Amino acid sequence: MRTADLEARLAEWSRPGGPFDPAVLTAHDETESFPAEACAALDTWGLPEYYVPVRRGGRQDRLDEFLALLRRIAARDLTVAVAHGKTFLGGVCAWVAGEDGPADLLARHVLAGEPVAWGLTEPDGGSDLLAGSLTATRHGSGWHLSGRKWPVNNATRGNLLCVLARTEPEGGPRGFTVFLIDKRATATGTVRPLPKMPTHGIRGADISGVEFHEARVPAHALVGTVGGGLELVLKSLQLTRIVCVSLSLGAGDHALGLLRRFLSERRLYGRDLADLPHVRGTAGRAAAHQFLAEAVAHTAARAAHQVPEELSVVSAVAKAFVPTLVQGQLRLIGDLLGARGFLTGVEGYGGFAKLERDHQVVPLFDGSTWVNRAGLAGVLPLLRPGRRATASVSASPVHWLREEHRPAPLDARRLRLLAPRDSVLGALPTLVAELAEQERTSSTAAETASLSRALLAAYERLGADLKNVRPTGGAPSTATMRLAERYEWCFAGAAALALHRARPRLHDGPWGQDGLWLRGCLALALEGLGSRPTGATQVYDRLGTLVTTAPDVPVSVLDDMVPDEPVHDGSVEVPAA
Amino acid sequence: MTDIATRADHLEKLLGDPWDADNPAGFAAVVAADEREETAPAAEAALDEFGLLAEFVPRTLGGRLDRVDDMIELMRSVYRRDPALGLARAGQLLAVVNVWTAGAPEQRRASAELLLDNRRIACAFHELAHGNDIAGNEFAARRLGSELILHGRKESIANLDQADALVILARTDPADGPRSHSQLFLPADMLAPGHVRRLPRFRSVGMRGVRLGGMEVTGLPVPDAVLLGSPGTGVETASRAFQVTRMALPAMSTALLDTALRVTLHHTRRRRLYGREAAAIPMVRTTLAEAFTDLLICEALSRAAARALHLCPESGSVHAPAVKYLVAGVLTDAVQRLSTVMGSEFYRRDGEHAVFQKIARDVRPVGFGHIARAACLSALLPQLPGLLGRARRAAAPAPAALFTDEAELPELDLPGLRLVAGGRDPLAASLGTVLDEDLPTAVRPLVEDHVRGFAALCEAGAALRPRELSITAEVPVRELAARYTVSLAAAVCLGVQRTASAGEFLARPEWLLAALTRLAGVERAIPADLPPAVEDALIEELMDRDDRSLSFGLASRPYA
Amino acid sequence: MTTYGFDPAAPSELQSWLVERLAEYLPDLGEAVDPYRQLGEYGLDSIAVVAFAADVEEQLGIAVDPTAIWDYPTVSELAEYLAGELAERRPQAA
Repeated sequence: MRTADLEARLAEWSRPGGPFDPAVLTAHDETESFPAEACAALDTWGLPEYYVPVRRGGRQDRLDEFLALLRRIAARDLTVAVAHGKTFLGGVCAWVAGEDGPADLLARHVLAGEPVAWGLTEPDGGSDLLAGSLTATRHGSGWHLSGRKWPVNNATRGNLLCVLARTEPEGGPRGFTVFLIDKRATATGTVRPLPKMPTHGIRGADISGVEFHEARVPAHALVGTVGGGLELVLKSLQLTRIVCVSLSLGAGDHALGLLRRFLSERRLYGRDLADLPHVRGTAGRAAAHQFLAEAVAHTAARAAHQVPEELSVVSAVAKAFVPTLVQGQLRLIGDLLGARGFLTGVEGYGGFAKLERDHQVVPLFDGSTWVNRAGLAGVLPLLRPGRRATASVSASPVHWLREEHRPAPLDARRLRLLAPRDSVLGALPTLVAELAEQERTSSTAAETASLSRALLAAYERLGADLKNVRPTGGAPSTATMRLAERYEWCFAGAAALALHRARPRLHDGPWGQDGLWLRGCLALALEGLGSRPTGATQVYDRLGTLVTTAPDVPVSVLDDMVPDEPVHDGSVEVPAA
Repeated sequence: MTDIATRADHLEKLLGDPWDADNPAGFAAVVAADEREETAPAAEAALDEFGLLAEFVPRTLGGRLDRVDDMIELMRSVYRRDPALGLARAGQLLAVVNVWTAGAPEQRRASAELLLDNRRIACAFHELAHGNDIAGNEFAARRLGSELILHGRKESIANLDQADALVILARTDPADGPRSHSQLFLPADMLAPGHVRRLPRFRSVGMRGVRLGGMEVTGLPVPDAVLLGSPGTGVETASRAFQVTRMALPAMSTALLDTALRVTLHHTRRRRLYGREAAAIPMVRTTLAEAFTDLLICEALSRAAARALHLCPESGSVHAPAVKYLVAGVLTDAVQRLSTVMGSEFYRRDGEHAVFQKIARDVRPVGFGHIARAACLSALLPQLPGLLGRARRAAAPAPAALFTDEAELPELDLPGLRLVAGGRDPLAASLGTVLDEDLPTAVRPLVEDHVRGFAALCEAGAALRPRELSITAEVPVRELAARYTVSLAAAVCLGVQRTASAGEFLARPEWLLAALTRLAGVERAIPADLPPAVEDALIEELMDRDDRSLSFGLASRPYA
Repeated sequence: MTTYGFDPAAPSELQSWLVERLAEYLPDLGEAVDPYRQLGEYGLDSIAVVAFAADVEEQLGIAVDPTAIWDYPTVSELAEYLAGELAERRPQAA
């Protein structure tokens, strides 16, 4: 119910003069000032509790719930979601490291409302973590830090900062270590802020940096083990990459809301805009984008609990796929909005240009689309269909995507850098076979079955193409990157099928009847795989009709999913590594 | 001033090296001006010194406009530095093409004098509520004796506050119909303050240097001599005149892809990732090669279409929406893909690549400004059966003069432009004969694919009924119009390669193969990849042009 | 069942196999990989390490975490470690 409660509060706060009043947030964007009122409102509501695991006294026990919360905020203002949500990123290393670090200390800080930044990037370093030059050297019982982290979200405003530092002069995968810095506990002049970077979007966020000059930090600042930093960060990224995609879902919600308003108001050539088939088709396509993005994001969030050993693949797919998909969705919506998506002062529509600019940062966060896709490309030969034994029944997404399923506690010890299998795509043949059994029940069931068979065939073709691919070092070839992209589309289609199978509720209702939303997802996935599925036009048309004729039905297949209250029984925790 | 090459060099020199941080008309100044929602004053001064607006005035009226393709190429020197600077000037073209098409001699003279004096003429057509549906416009001019009484709103009009004259589209007949609107040519001093309320500036996310104004007019009396053309011909005049601008504006905008590509190259050739030059990463190379190809495709199509306005003006009603549809789509996609290559550098508003984020915002209106891409398909559709039928019946090679910029052109005859092509399109017709030509071996199979695709399109077109082609056309039918634009572009690329002088890059098969591959994949999510040797050849050419500061487009001309 | 073209239980054979495999990850390297030199010195980046681990895992049929390559950063150390791991699973791999 907390998601619903947050949504109700956000609606309140969005009224004129409130902390989420679009006029206030637009002004922050214009003047590049921090949306402090909105962040304070979220503090009061208790969002920081969701940054802290239950066993450390917080309310974080389900990633799917956290995604839903952050999505609601992003749907109002993506800058605020980024500005506040960074504490999730800042904390995650400490939770993953478990008892090997200052987790309890950090939990107290976060619960007290203290934001935490995560400093990975360095000037000119980009996504190459091994190039990091900020150095920590032993000094007495503690450490001396020297160097720069930039650009970092909240680097200047926050007191707490989790950084990756080089602890072996020659670097290397065992040459880096994570530290949690409390700037207040460092000597004057040893830690200096670096200027805010003027950005294209999220202009109000504190994207700045920090510079250390022989800054002394105590021994208990160490997070995890000395030399364990890279591994810790790579595992933490598996979680944060999944969280990031909720920002895309929120952006999609926001844009779809504007689109619906536009379609209800606009008349052209003497008709309602929605009377034009291509307008309906585009609106329906935009809705299908949202459903597919939801399927992947939600599957990834549940996978973190259920199949954490596969998360290196799942998180890379989610992060490479969802922001790109939503970018495409925003493009479709922007094309329909035309001038209204471009002019920033037109009553009610000024938000579109801002959300689109804001969203363009999401593909860059925590490893860009290409970084994630390249990571996936590197391990593709291991993931080809049939190479591994399929997972057990309990590992099947159909099992753990059930509405009532209570996700297992997050267990960071099960995270691995190399996934042994992919249970989501592994479930595809069974899912397709099950749909085939239904195909005689109706013409739409036959259509759904046929689309799913086409997806399976595309996956098998991918498997055949993967036979000739060897693992290689360095940047993957273009051909391998394209295979990785195809893998993402197959995964997305399989996630939609699994979600549909796991939730009877999704077989009914405006989107669900006749499996309409699923056919939208499958059609989109097949197009992504380069084919032109028959019936796609009709599916998008029907989805588009619903977008315009049922304006009160949220464009979501997860909307009813309001997770229950977290249970403070200690059974749900992030165990020590 | 003399020939186009000299003029282009002169303009380049006046505007200076855009990378030079001290150049007041360079990228740094342009980005700083954009932050203030202005254009760079030094750049404006340079354009005035050059007398840029004379490029929009026909020779017969004392200007330098004699070839639309030359005008476009020259304007690319402006667009490549700041698309807003370009659009703010090209905005005048929107107004005056109507005057050149339908104006009385004194209106033509007055317009020419204003432009030759670097003054502004605004095109006041747009009403937010009606968008591309100009026939739905409500701004009214009601006749009262020998006067017209103006009433209504015009919104999001470029340069309105600085204009010395306006071309206005006004409803002169309350009944709907093709003769319900008229155009007016109005000196700005007729906008009596008591009857005209200026609307606050319309702010935008991109093209922020373009001052978008608006006005609300109540009962303003003006003499009926302001009528531009006969009463009731407003929409018709625009349908002719805008054939020029609907292709010329997107065609000028290709320079924005040149800059996006140049900035991306600049970044990736300097940046090292995982111990190697980022420009050597396979996906980076591929994306650069594809964007280069896309630029060549866009410039090829717009060159042929612009030249066709002179050579076969009957096809303008087809070529204009085709250029707008295809070029705007390809440019927008290409900039987006390059932003992926730029990575987080794309997101910065400071540093030496800050102009990239500006381009990413400025490219937006290419898709909907003036006429939206969706409206272009609607415009093409009713003509499709005629075009496809004729292309099938009367296949003929396209005249070489369409493709090579060396061939001279007959004078532009704006009033001679037709509202419909009657099926005549020399580019489409050439697709039935391209296989008879001497084709590079590597290219032939691709050409066969395109020819087969066009034949299938003709087949589908033959089955279309008129009522399927209205504004409520079904999506698959609209897609046929989109495919038509792809076929045109393929025909043009073949023509450009065939007519290029031996030894030129454009005469080589690699870029043609790349272009035909890209065009075959326009509507597909995952494009076919270019053969490695083709990609290598494109990258080599691109790097070489970058080193020698040559434009990346068809002209490959010196850039300052 | 995984079959090998060498005896994976013998660290020396495993070592030369690893050297051979590694050559494919370092196409620009003109010489053979020195089994006693740190792999990082050859410019094997983090993505390549994961891919290499995947490759070794695929060939040997045992789980190889990329961190194993970090913890045993020379071919010689890695071969010894892998031989030990394989020996544990020998009965299945016969």
